[in-house]
Amino acid sequence: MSNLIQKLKPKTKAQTTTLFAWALIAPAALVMFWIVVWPLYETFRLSFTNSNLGTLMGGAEYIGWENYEKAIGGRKFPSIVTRTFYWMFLSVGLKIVLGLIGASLLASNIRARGLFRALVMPPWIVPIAIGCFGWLWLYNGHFGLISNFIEMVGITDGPFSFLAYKQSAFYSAVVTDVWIGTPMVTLFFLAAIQGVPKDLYEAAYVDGASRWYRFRRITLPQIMPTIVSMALLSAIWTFNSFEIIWILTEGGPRGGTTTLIIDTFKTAIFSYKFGAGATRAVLVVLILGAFSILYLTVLNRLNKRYGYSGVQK
Amino acid sequence: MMDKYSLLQKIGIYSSLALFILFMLLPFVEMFIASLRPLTHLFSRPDVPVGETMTFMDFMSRFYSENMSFQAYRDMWVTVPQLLVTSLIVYFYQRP
Repeated sequence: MSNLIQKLKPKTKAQTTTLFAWALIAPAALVMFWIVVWPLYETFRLSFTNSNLGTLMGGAEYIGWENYEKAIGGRKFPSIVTRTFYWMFLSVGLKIVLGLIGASLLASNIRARGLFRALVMPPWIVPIAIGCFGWLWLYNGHFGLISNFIEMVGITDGPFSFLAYKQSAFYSAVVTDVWIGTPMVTLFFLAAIQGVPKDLYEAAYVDGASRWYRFRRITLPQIMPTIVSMALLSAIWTFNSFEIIWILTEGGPRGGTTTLIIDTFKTAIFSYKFGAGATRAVLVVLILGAFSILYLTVLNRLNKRYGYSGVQK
Repeated sequence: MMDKYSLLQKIGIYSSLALFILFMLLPFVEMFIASLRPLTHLFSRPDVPVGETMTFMDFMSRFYSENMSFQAYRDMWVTVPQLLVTSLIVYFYQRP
Protein backbone atom coordinates (compact mmCIF):
# COMPACT_ATOMS: atom_id res chain seq x y z
CA MET A 1 0.00 0.00 0.00
CA SER A 2 2.75 2.42 0.96
CA ASN A 3 4.48 1.46 -2.32
CA LEU A 4 1.39 2.52 -4.25
CA ILE A 5 1.21 5.84 -2.41
CA GLN A 6 4.89 6.39 -3.12
CA LYS A 7 4.31 5.67 -6.84
CA LEU A 8 1.34 8.10 -7.02
CA LYS A 9 3.14 10.84 -5.14
CA PRO A 10 4.17 13.66 -7.51
CA LYS A 11 7.89 13.76 -8.13
CA THR A 12 8.27 16.97 -10.09
CA LYS A 13 6.76 20.43 -9.74
CA ALA A 14 4.87 19.96 -13.02
CA GLN A 15 3.25 16.79 -11.68
CA THR A 16 2.21 18.61 -8.51
CA THR A 17 0.62 21.40 -10.58
CA THR A 18 -1.25 18.88 -12.74
CA LEU A 19 -2.54 17.03 -9.70
CA PHE A 20 -3.63 20.28 -8.09
CA ALA A 21 -5.45 21.27 -11.29
CA TRP A 22 -7.27 17.93 -11.37
CA ALA A 23 -8.22 18.36 -7.71
CA LEU A 24 -9.68 21.77 -8.50
CA ILE A 25 -11.84 20.60 -11.40
CA ALA A 26 -12.87 17.35 -9.70
CA PRO A 27 -16.03 18.78 -7.99
CA ALA A 28 -17.27 20.34 -11.24
CA ALA A 29 -16.41 17.16 -13.16
CA LEU A 30 -18.35 15.09 -10.63
CA VAL A 31 -21.42 17.34 -10.96
CA MET A 32 -21.17 17.18 -14.76
CA PHE A 33 -20.91 13.40 -14.56
CA TRP A 34 -23.95 13.29 -12.31
CA ILE A 35 -26.20 15.53 -14.45
CA VAL A 36 -24.98 14.69 -17.97
CA VAL A 37 -23.12 11.40 -18.26
CA TRP A 38 -25.22 9.37 -15.84
CA PRO A 39 -28.65 10.26 -17.40
CA LEU A 40 -27.20 9.61 -20.85
CA TYR A 41 -25.88 6.23 -19.73
CA GLU A 42 -29.23 5.40 -18.10
CA THR A 43 -31.13 6.34 -21.27
CA PHE A 44 -28.76 4.20 -23.32
CA ARG A 45 -29.14 1.28 -20.89
CA LEU A 46 -32.94 1.62 -20.78
CA SER A 47 -33.13 1.51 -24.58
CA PHE A 48 -31.98 -2.14 -24.45
CA THR A 49 -34.64 -3.17 -21.92
CA ASN A 50 -38.40 -3.72 -21.96
CA SER A 51 -38.87 -1.20 -19.12
CA ASN A 52 -42.47 -0.04 -18.78
CA LEU A 53 -45.08 0.75 -16.13
CA GLY A 54 -45.29 -2.93 -15.12
CA THR A 55 -41.56 -3.21 -14.49
CA LEU A 56 -41.18 0.01 -12.49
CA MET A 57 -40.57 -1.89 -9.26
CA GLY A 58 -37.98 -4.08 -10.96
CA GLY A 59 -38.03 -6.91 -13.45
CA ALA A 60 -37.10 -5.07 -16.65
CA GLU A 61 -35.29 -7.49 -18.92
CA TYR A 62 -32.49 -7.01 -21.40
CA ILE A 63 -33.98 -7.48 -24.87
CA GLY A 64 -31.05 -6.51 -27.09
CA TRP A 65 -31.79 -4.52 -30.23
CA GLU A 66 -35.54 -5.32 -30.20
CA ASN A 67 -36.56 -1.74 -29.31
CA TYR A 68 -34.43 -0.35 -32.13
CA GLU A 69 -35.81 -2.87 -34.63
CA LYS A 70 -39.37 -2.00 -33.59
CA ALA A 71 -38.73 1.77 -33.67
CA ILE A 72 -36.95 1.88 -37.02
CA GLY A 73 -39.13 -0.81 -38.62
CA GLY A 74 -42.35 0.73 -37.24
CA ARG A 75 -45.13 1.78 -39.61
CA LYS A 76 -45.10 5.41 -38.48
CA PHE A 77 -41.37 5.90 -37.99
CA PRO A 78 -40.38 6.84 -41.59
CA SER A 79 -43.14 9.46 -41.78
CA ILE A 80 -42.16 10.88 -38.37
CA VAL A 81 -38.49 11.18 -39.38
CA THR A 82 -39.42 12.73 -42.75
CA ARG A 83 -41.78 15.17 -41.00
CA THR A 84 -39.11 16.09 -38.45
CA PHE A 85 -36.55 16.90 -41.15
CA TYR A 86 -39.14 18.73 -43.27
CA TRP A 87 -40.17 20.74 -40.18
CA MET A 88 -36.53 21.56 -39.47
CA PHE A 89 -35.48 22.54 -43.00
CA LEU A 90 -38.63 24.56 -43.71
CA SER A 91 -38.52 26.41 -40.42
CA VAL A 92 -34.78 27.10 -40.50
CA GLY A 93 -34.94 28.16 -44.17
CA LEU A 94 -37.73 30.63 -43.44
CA LYS A 95 -35.94 31.97 -40.36
CA ILE A 96 -32.75 32.54 -42.34
CA VAL A 97 -34.53 34.26 -45.26
CA LEU A 98 -36.72 36.41 -42.99
CA GLY A 99 -33.78 37.16 -40.70
CA LEU A 100 -31.67 38.28 -43.63
CA ILE A 101 -34.43 40.50 -45.01
CA GLY A 102 -35.15 41.92 -41.53
CA ALA A 103 -31.47 42.56 -40.77
CA SER A 104 -30.93 44.29 -44.13
CA LEU A 105 -33.96 46.50 -43.51
CA LEU A 106 -32.89 47.31 -39.94
CA ALA A 107 -29.35 48.09 -41.08
CA SER A 108 -30.53 50.70 -43.59
CA ASN A 109 -29.89 54.32 -42.77
CA ILE A 110 -33.43 55.47 -41.91
CA ARG A 111 -35.15 57.40 -39.14
CA ALA A 112 -36.44 55.57 -36.05
CA ARG A 113 -34.42 52.46 -36.81
CA GLY A 114 -33.65 52.13 -33.09
CA LEU A 115 -37.38 51.84 -32.41
CA PHE A 116 -37.81 49.24 -35.19
CA ARG A 117 -34.91 47.22 -33.77
CA ALA A 118 -36.52 47.24 -30.33
CA LEU A 119 -39.90 46.19 -31.76
CA VAL A 120 -38.37 43.04 -33.30
CA MET A 121 -37.33 41.72 -29.89
CA PRO A 122 -40.63 40.81 -28.10
CA PRO A 123 -41.13 37.30 -29.55
CA TRP A 124 -37.65 36.42 -28.33
CA ILE A 125 -38.03 38.09 -24.91
CA VAL A 126 -41.37 36.68 -23.77
CA PRO A 127 -41.61 33.08 -22.59
CA ILE A 128 -42.34 30.65 -25.43
CA ALA A 129 -45.56 29.49 -23.72
CA ILE A 130 -47.02 33.02 -23.73
CA GLY A 131 -46.21 33.53 -27.41
CA CYS A 132 -47.73 30.14 -28.22
CA PHE A 133 -50.95 31.01 -26.36
CA GLY A 134 -51.16 34.19 -28.42
CA TRP A 135 -50.90 32.15 -31.62
CA LEU A 136 -53.32 29.55 -30.26
CA TRP A 137 -55.88 32.33 -29.96
CA LEU A 138 -55.05 33.68 -33.44
CA TYR A 139 -55.50 30.22 -35.02
CA ASN A 140 -58.89 29.65 -33.36
CA GLY A 141 -61.54 28.91 -35.98
CA HIS A 142 -64.47 30.83 -34.53
CA PHE A 143 -62.89 33.67 -32.57
CA GLY A 144 -59.42 33.87 -34.13
CA LEU A 145 -58.27 36.95 -36.00
CA ILE A 146 -56.74 35.04 -38.93
CA SER A 147 -59.82 32.88 -39.50
CA ASN A 148 -62.06 35.97 -39.42
CA PHE A 149 -59.73 37.85 -41.77
CA ILE A 150 -59.52 35.14 -44.44
CA GLU A 151 -63.28 34.77 -44.19
CA MET A 152 -63.70 38.50 -44.78
CA VAL A 153 -61.42 38.56 -47.84
CA GLY A 154 -63.26 35.54 -49.24
CA ILE A 155 -60.56 32.85 -49.06
CA THR A 156 -62.88 30.66 -46.95
CA ASP A 157 -66.65 30.76 -46.74
CA GLY A 158 -66.84 30.11 -43.00
CA PRO A 159 -64.77 29.60 -39.86
CA PHE A 160 -61.54 27.70 -40.48
CA SER A 161 -59.77 26.10 -37.57
CA PHE A 162 -56.10 26.05 -38.46
CA LEU A 163 -55.12 23.49 -35.87
CA ALA A 164 -57.87 21.01 -36.74
CA TYR A 165 -56.39 19.66 -39.98
CA LYS A 166 -53.08 17.85 -40.49
CA GLN A 167 -51.62 20.13 -43.16
CA SER A 168 -52.75 23.46 -41.79
CA ALA A 169 -51.76 22.48 -38.23
CA PHE A 170 -48.26 21.59 -39.41
CA TYR A 171 -47.75 24.86 -41.28
CA SER A 172 -49.29 26.84 -38.41
CA ALA A 173 -46.72 25.30 -36.06
CA VAL A 174 -43.97 26.20 -38.55
CA VAL A 175 -45.18 29.84 -38.63
CA THR A 176 -45.13 30.00 -34.81
CA ASP A 177 -41.64 28.49 -34.69
CA VAL A 178 -40.44 30.98 -37.32
CA TRP A 179 -42.03 33.81 -35.32
CA ILE A 180 -40.17 32.77 -32.16
CA GLY A 181 -36.82 32.08 -33.89
CA THR A 182 -36.59 34.98 -36.35
CA PRO A 183 -35.74 37.83 -33.91
CA MET A 184 -32.57 36.15 -32.70
CA VAL A 185 -31.45 35.31 -36.26
CA THR A 186 -32.23 38.90 -37.32
CA LEU A 187 -30.20 40.43 -34.49
CA PHE A 188 -27.20 38.17 -35.16
CA PHE A 189 -27.30 39.02 -38.87
CA LEU A 190 -27.68 42.71 -38.04
CA ALA A 191 -24.60 42.56 -35.81
CA ALA A 192 -22.68 40.79 -38.59
CA ILE A 193 -23.77 43.35 -41.20
CA GLN A 194 -22.68 46.20 -38.93
CA GLY A 195 -19.28 44.54 -38.62
CA VAL A 196 -18.60 44.67 -42.37
CA PRO A 197 -15.90 47.32 -43.07
CA LYS A 198 -17.45 50.49 -44.54
CA ASP A 199 -14.46 51.01 -46.89
CA LEU A 200 -15.57 47.99 -48.95
CA TYR A 201 -18.97 49.59 -49.62
CA GLU A 202 -17.44 52.98 -50.36
CA ALA A 203 -14.91 51.49 -52.80
CA ALA A 204 -17.70 49.55 -54.54
CA TYR A 205 -19.91 52.69 -54.62
CA VAL A 206 -17.11 54.71 -56.22
CA ASP A 207 -16.75 51.95 -58.83
CA GLY A 208 -20.44 52.31 -59.62
CA ALA A 209 -21.76 49.12 -57.99
CA SER A 210 -25.52 49.08 -57.40
CA ARG A 211 -27.10 48.35 -53.98
CA TRP A 212 -28.09 44.81 -55.01
CA TYR A 213 -24.59 44.14 -56.37
CA ARG A 214 -23.01 45.38 -53.13
CA PHE A 215 -25.35 43.16 -51.12
CA ARG A 216 -24.51 40.09 -53.20
CA ARG A 217 -20.76 40.67 -53.54
CA ILE A 218 -19.88 42.31 -50.22
CA THR A 219 -22.54 41.80 -47.54
CA LEU A 220 -23.40 38.15 -48.22
CA PRO A 221 -19.82 36.81 -48.44
CA GLN A 222 -18.78 38.85 -45.41
CA ILE A 223 -21.57 37.57 -43.17
CA MET A 224 -21.45 34.00 -44.53
CA PRO A 225 -19.81 32.53 -41.38
CA THR A 226 -22.63 34.00 -39.28
CA ILE A 227 -25.28 32.70 -41.69
CA VAL A 228 -23.85 29.17 -41.58
CA SER A 229 -23.42 29.24 -37.79
CA MET A 230 -26.97 30.45 -37.27
CA ALA A 231 -28.39 27.94 -39.78
CA LEU A 232 -26.73 24.99 -38.10
CA LEU A 233 -27.45 26.13 -34.53
CA SER A 234 -31.01 26.96 -35.47
CA ALA A 235 -31.35 23.51 -37.09
CA ILE A 236 -30.36 21.84 -33.82
CA TRP A 237 -32.76 24.01 -31.77
CA THR A 238 -35.62 23.50 -34.22
CA PHE A 239 -35.06 19.75 -34.33
CA ASN A 240 -35.30 19.77 -30.52
CA SER A 241 -38.28 22.12 -30.45
CA PHE A 242 -40.89 20.61 -28.16
CA GLU A 243 -43.00 23.20 -26.35
CA ILE A 244 -44.26 25.01 -29.48
CA ILE A 245 -45.79 21.87 -30.99
CA TRP A 246 -46.91 20.56 -27.63
CA ILE A 247 -48.78 23.73 -26.65
CA LEU A 248 -50.36 24.18 -30.10
CA THR A 249 -51.36 20.65 -31.05
CA GLU A 250 -49.80 18.04 -28.72
CA GLY A 251 -48.56 16.35 -31.88
CA GLY A 252 -52.01 16.10 -33.48
CA PRO A 253 -54.33 16.11 -35.34
CA ARG A 254 -53.84 12.40 -36.12
CA GLY A 255 -50.08 12.73 -35.71
CA GLY A 256 -49.89 15.53 -38.27
CA THR A 257 -47.38 17.51 -36.19
CA THR A 258 -45.65 14.63 -34.41
CA THR A 259 -41.90 15.03 -34.69
CA LEU A 260 -39.25 12.74 -33.19
CA ILE A 261 -39.11 14.68 -29.93
CA ILE A 262 -42.91 14.61 -29.54
CA ASP A 263 -42.95 10.89 -30.40
CA THR A 264 -40.27 10.24 -27.78
CA PHE A 265 -42.28 12.08 -25.11
CA LYS A 266 -45.55 10.38 -26.07
CA THR A 267 -43.98 6.91 -26.08
CA ALA A 268 -42.06 7.31 -22.83
CA ILE A 269 -44.47 9.39 -20.75
CA PHE A 270 -47.97 8.89 -22.18
CA SER A 271 -47.64 5.21 -23.09
CA TYR A 272 -45.31 4.38 -20.16
CA LYS A 273 -42.97 2.50 -22.54
CA PHE A 274 -39.76 3.77 -21.01
CA GLY A 275 -37.51 1.38 -22.94
CA ALA A 276 -39.05 2.24 -26.32
CA GLY A 277 -39.00 5.95 -25.42
CA ALA A 278 -35.33 5.75 -24.46
CA THR A 279 -34.61 4.13 -27.84
CA ARG A 280 -36.10 7.14 -29.61
CA ALA A 281 -34.15 9.47 -27.34
CA VAL A 282 -30.91 7.67 -28.26
CA LEU A 283 -31.78 8.03 -31.96
CA VAL A 284 -32.35 11.77 -31.44
CA VAL A 285 -28.99 12.04 -29.67
CA LEU A 286 -27.27 10.23 -32.57
CA ILE A 287 -28.89 12.46 -35.21
CA LEU A 288 -28.09 15.63 -33.25
CA GLY A 289 -24.56 14.34 -32.61
CA ALA A 290 -24.07 13.97 -36.38
CA PHE A 291 -25.41 17.50 -36.81
CA SER A 292 -23.03 18.86 -34.19
CA ILE A 293 -20.05 17.23 -35.94
CA LEU A 294 -21.24 18.71 -39.24
CA TYR A 295 -21.62 22.10 -37.52
CA LEU A 296 -18.11 22.07 -36.12
CA THR A 297 -16.58 20.84 -39.41
CA VAL A 298 -18.32 23.50 -41.51
CA LEU A 299 -17.51 26.24 -38.99
CA ASN A 300 -13.88 25.17 -38.91
CA ARG A 301 -13.65 25.28 -42.71
CA LEU A 302 -15.34 28.67 -42.84
CA ASN A 303 -13.02 30.05 -40.21
CA LYS A 304 -10.04 28.76 -42.17
CA ARG A 305 -11.40 30.35 -45.34
CA TYR A 306 -12.60 33.69 -44.02
CA GLY A 307 -10.66 33.98 -40.77
CA TYR A 308 -12.30 34.71 -37.44
CA SER A 309 -12.83 38.35 -38.40
CA GLY A 310 -14.97 37.32 -41.36
CA VAL A 311 -12.58 38.93 -43.86
CA GLN A 312 -11.75 36.61 -46.76
CA LYS A 313 -8.10 35.58 -46.82
CA MET B 1 -20.46 59.78 -49.50
CA MET B 2 -22.82 56.89 -50.13
CA ASP B 3 -25.92 57.12 -52.29
CA LYS B 4 -29.14 58.29 -50.60
CA TYR B 5 -32.52 56.61 -50.74
CA SER B 6 -35.09 57.87 -53.21
CA LEU B 7 -38.64 58.50 -51.99
CA LEU B 8 -39.82 55.26 -53.55
CA GLN B 9 -37.04 53.31 -51.86
CA LYS B 10 -37.89 54.91 -48.51
CA ILE B 11 -41.54 53.93 -48.93
CA GLY B 12 -40.43 50.40 -49.79
CA ILE B 13 -38.17 50.13 -46.73
CA TYR B 14 -40.73 51.55 -44.30
CA SER B 15 -43.61 49.45 -45.61
CA SER B 16 -41.49 46.27 -45.56
CA LEU B 17 -40.41 47.08 -42.01
CA ALA B 18 -44.02 47.73 -41.03
CA LEU B 19 -45.01 44.30 -42.40
CA PHE B 20 -42.09 42.66 -40.61
CA ILE B 21 -42.96 44.34 -37.31
CA LEU B 22 -46.66 43.53 -37.77
CA PHE B 23 -45.78 39.83 -38.04
CA MET B 24 -43.65 40.11 -34.90
CA LEU B 25 -46.26 41.97 -32.86
CA LEU B 26 -49.50 40.43 -34.14
CA PRO B 27 -50.01 37.99 -31.23
CA PHE B 28 -49.29 40.75 -28.70
CA VAL B 29 -51.74 43.14 -30.35
CA GLU B 30 -54.38 40.40 -30.35
CA MET B 31 -53.63 39.54 -26.72
CA PHE B 32 -53.88 43.21 -25.69
CA ILE B 33 -57.21 43.71 -27.47
CA ALA B 34 -58.47 40.44 -25.97
CA SER B 35 -57.48 41.69 -22.50
CA LEU B 36 -59.76 44.72 -22.89
CA ARG B 37 -62.78 42.92 -24.31
CA PRO B 38 -65.44 41.44 -21.97
CA LEU B 39 -65.70 37.64 -21.99
CA THR B 40 -69.07 37.60 -23.75
CA HIS B 41 -67.65 39.68 -26.58
CA LEU B 42 -64.44 37.64 -26.64
CA PHE B 43 -66.30 34.40 -27.27
CA SER B 44 -68.65 35.75 -29.89
CA ARG B 45 -68.45 35.80 -33.66
CA PRO B 46 -69.63 38.57 -35.97
CA ASP B 47 -73.27 37.82 -36.69
CA VAL B 48 -73.11 36.80 -40.36
CA PRO B 49 -76.22 35.14 -41.86
CA VAL B 50 -75.65 31.71 -43.45
CA GLY B 51 -74.65 32.00 -47.11
CA GLU B 52 -73.42 35.57 -46.76
CA THR B 53 -69.80 36.66 -46.56
CA MET B 54 -68.31 38.60 -43.68
CA THR B 55 -68.07 42.31 -44.42
CA PHE B 56 -65.25 44.63 -43.37
CA MET B 57 -67.47 46.19 -40.69
CA ASP B 58 -68.36 42.72 -39.34
CA PHE B 59 -64.65 41.97 -39.12
CA MET B 60 -63.83 45.26 -37.40
CA SER B 61 -66.61 44.73 -34.84
CA ARG B 62 -64.46 42.02 -33.21
CA PHE B 63 -61.97 44.71 -32.16
CA TYR B 64 -64.46 46.93 -30.42
CA SER B 65 -67.09 46.50 -27.75
CA GLU B 66 -68.97 49.15 -25.81
CA ASN B 67 -68.02 47.37 -22.58
CA MET B 68 -64.27 47.39 -23.18
CA SER B 69 -62.33 48.10 -19.99
CA PHE B 70 -59.09 47.65 -18.09
CA GLN B 71 -60.93 45.57 -15.47
CA ALA B 72 -58.77 42.50 -16.23
CA TYR B 73 -55.67 44.52 -15.28
CA ARG B 74 -57.28 45.50 -11.96
CA ASP B 75 -58.44 41.95 -11.26
CA MET B 76 -55.09 40.37 -11.94
CA TRP B 77 -53.53 42.05 -8.87
CA VAL B 78 -55.36 39.56 -6.70
CA THR B 79 -53.09 36.72 -7.85
CA VAL B 80 -50.15 38.44 -9.51
CA PRO B 81 -48.28 39.67 -6.37
CA GLN B 82 -47.86 36.12 -5.10
CA LEU B 83 -46.70 34.91 -8.53
CA LEU B 84 -44.38 37.90 -8.82
CA VAL B 85 -42.73 37.05 -5.50
CA THR B 86 -42.30 33.41 -6.61
CA SER B 87 -40.78 34.55 -9.93
CA LEU B 88 -38.38 36.92 -8.15
CA ILE B 89 -37.29 34.21 -5.73
CA VAL B 90 -36.61 31.84 -8.65
CA TYR B 91 -34.78 34.62 -10.50
CA PHE B 92 -32.48 35.51 -7.59
CA TYR B 93 -31.72 31.87 -6.81
CA GLN B 94 -30.96 31.06 -10.48
CA ARG B 95 -28.81 34.15 -11.04
CA PRO B 96 -25.16 33.08 -11.49
